[in-house]
Amino acid sequence: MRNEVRKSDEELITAILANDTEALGELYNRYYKKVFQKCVSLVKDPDEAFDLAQEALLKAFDHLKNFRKDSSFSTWLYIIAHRHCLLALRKKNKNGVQSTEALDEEADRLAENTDEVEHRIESEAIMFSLINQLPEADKELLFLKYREGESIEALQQKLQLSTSAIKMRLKRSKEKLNNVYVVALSVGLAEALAMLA
Amino acid sequence: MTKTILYPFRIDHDFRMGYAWSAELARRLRGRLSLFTTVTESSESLEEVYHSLADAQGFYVKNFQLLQLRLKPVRSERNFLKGEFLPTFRDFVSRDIPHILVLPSHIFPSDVIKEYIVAGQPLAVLPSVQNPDIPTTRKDRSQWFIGMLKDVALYNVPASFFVTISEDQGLFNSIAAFFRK
Repeated sequence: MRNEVRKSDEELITAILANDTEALGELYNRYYKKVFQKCVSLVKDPDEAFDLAQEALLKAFDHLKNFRKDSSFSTWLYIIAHRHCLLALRKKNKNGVQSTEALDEEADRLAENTDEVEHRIESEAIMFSLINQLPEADKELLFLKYREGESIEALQQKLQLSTSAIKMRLKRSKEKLNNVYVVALSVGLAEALAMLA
Repeated sequence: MTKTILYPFRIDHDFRMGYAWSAELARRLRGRLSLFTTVTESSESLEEVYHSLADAQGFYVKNFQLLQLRLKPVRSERNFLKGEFLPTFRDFVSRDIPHILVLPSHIFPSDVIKEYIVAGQPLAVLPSVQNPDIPTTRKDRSQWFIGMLKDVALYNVPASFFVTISEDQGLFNSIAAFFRK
């Protein structure tokens, strides 16, 4: 029986850059559903999101050599997906501005949505930068809970901690993150990152 | 005119293999992949279909598409309609007849398959095996599509389809030539 060890994203990327297509398939498979979900949350249309997710992933893979590893691969990928969806919304918005009232309303809605998306991208980029600077244990917990959507019970099993310990650690990690996030928004990201260094 | 390859599926059955095979067939024939399934009134149902499809897409890319030099998005037309699966499917096909219909045998009763055969519809019936051994090496994977074709029942296609499967592209050139007629 084969006992395969799950490779990290970074290991897969190194392999891909050495032309290992197996690794590319592994990474694609690992992220397709997550990117798709991200696109759905932005464009609100699963049919459109399905194509956008494919395109965003291929775009990311085409530019993999530009990935500098100063953030996690997932953060980098999600930002690409965000931007790709944003471009699609803008394009749709541009094409949607026609004479009928219904289309104008749709264009307005999309324009509002675009602003909202831009704002969210910026906020998320800041948030991910901050999370990446948190101590490893805090980072892992926040990612598992809020990015992977793990339940408290699942975290309890995974981290071998009691429910109250998980809740307490989550509370503290969030407080820590909130404090630096406020600094990032009011003073600047560099200052906030310096607080975590 | 682009040929349409229609693949119907149900998410309560593992359809990754059928999807991947159909997507690969469409790519090789330079055809358009059309997907069909039914959903219920709830939005969760549609979401579930897309999640399953995303999973199948990852499976396709990993096991088939990566054999190509460059990845390209799979362009598909998705027809996710409300209603009961079989009657809605029949109605859909009667309105929009595909050039080739890929039917997973485990979700279609044999009498329905026979109906399409009798009607002269070009048909590829996928075997009912739902959990085939997935090749683990690139070399094995490169022959997977062709290897699977040995187990696919083809109907209403020229005799050349049934020749012994070779490992080169000759068979697919003849299929492609047929569907481009």
